[in-house]
Amino acid sequence: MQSVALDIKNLRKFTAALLKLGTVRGPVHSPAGVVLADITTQSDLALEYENFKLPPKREFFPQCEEITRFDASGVREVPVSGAADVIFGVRPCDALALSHLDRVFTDDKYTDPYYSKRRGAALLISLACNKSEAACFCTSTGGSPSSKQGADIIGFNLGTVLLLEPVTARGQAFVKKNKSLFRDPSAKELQKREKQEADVAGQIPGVAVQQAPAALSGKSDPAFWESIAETCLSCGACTFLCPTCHCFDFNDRTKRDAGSRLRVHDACMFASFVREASGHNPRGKKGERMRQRVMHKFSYAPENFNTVFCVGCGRCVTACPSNIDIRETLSKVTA
Amino acid sequence: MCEGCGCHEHESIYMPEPLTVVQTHPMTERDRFFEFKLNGKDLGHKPGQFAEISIPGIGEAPISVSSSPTKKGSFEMVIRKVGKVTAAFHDLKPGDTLGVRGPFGTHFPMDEFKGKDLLFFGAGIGLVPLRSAINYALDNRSDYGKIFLLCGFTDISQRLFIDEMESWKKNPSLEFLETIDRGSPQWKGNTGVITTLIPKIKDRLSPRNTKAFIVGPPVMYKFVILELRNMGFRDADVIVSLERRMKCGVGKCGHCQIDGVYVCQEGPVFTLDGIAHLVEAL
Repeated sequence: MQSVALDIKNLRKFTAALLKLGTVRGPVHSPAGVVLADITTQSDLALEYENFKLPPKREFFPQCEEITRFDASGVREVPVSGAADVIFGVRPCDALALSHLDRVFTDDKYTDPYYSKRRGAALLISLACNKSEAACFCTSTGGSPSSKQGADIIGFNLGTVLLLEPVTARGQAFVKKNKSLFRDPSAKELQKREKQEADVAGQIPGVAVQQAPAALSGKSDPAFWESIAETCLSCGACTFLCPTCHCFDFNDRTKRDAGSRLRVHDACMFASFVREASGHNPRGKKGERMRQRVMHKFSYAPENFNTVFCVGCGRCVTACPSNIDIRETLSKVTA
Repeated sequence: MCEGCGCHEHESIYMPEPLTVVQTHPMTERDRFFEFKLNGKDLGHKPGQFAEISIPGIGEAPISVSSSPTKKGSFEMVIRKVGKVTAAFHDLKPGDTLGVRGPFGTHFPMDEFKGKDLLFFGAGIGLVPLRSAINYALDNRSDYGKIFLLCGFTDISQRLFIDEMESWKKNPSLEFLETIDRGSPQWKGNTGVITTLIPKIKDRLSPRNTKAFIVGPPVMYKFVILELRNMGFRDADVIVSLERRMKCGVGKCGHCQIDGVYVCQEGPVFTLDGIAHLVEAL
């Protein structure tokens, strides 16, 4: 759709327009760097950052949420809470990840009400990347520093101007409603955007992702997976930080005669993940669990959803305490 | 109403319905029988399906339904005490309420098997889900050919459904054999693993017209499958029920995956040819 231009000097007015929609979450300066948090005043919005340390999936699928509450009178559902009306500044890789999660949480048979209500509530404005980080490989996973999938509007920060391109009808409606904030972009600005897109994409090295699904189908040798997992500490950091990982568990918490059932993130890298109450553990070895994680992203997801469930954000690469690098794993798989 | 999405068409997929204990009694030191009923309706399950049973404040666990859907008004489960949640189930008394979600998963396709001979292998607690199919077949006896039921337990203390096994033994419309792995002075029957019963019925089996059902501990599948293949059974005629740690029951939480297959959706009942390609299956 047709892009519009917002002069950065009008950024506060733009933020005010977002705030009119309700709860707005976006990039905010904090002692821990720029984080995705509530925008409360017009001056909160930060535009200079690479990516959030934590994946934005948490806005829709929080690390811990109450799903039922109970006391002596019975069990009640808990209404969905914490839904944002606008989420601004998600990077394109993470927006793409949300479009993958949409397919998990809403399938032909069952809709997860908590995820889908939050996802439906939020106008998602992504922000194309102005530079890449060392572990980025989105161009190998079906995305790019300016891919639009999953967002309602994508923004391009050109320094003095923010170009906004509506992606969905919802995004288009927002732009139309606030057209007084925007002007038509100049040809020069459009050229600058194009050059920026190509430059950033050009910085990102290629990784053997597309060859992985076919190569993985023959990789069931336990020794291979044990060698990949040898240094794994089973800490789960890769899964908690992954924008597409979505495994969860239920836990009940009680205080005196009342309590709640919580839905919490879980991780396939934990030894207890598939262990049954009897003690039987179908995936008792680290290598088996490593195989599951890699297969889920690069073999099962392509089979079930026709796309890899990795968006090349690089968080797992950066966070792994024992330097297990999915890019290296994939090159070993496809070697 | 679904508080999650705000609509009135359904409840949240994670919201349990109230369930009442009708009666319960111990079967072994660790296995307990339960009859449950829902408020004025049937669970609506098919043989081989499971449900998520929960006690608020304790937790939820996937449990197989043991009764046949031909039994109306209530349904039955047998719960082994192995952890915190199942221990809490064992404390339930008639009249107590708990929660249920489901039924979930695939079922033994009994309608498709009309006209076939049926060969059941139920070992240990595997007999519990298998019983739903056994009793379904017995309640629709004229739909099926010969029925063979082979049961095995580790020792005499682990035998389940003792009265019902006695009635199967006396029932002329099926051939019932039982064995225990470790014999004892009180035990006069067969001893040995379940495959040792096969030679006793082998000459009456017609592998090309028989559907074989296997439910039991993980180690048993391999050996029974080997015997069946040697007798000429095709993998498409061998039906297994696989256990995994189903948490959500709706194909999202990831716990029950065998390779890329969600056992809570595409299982727990599989044909052997359907899982042959899965590295993690057996």
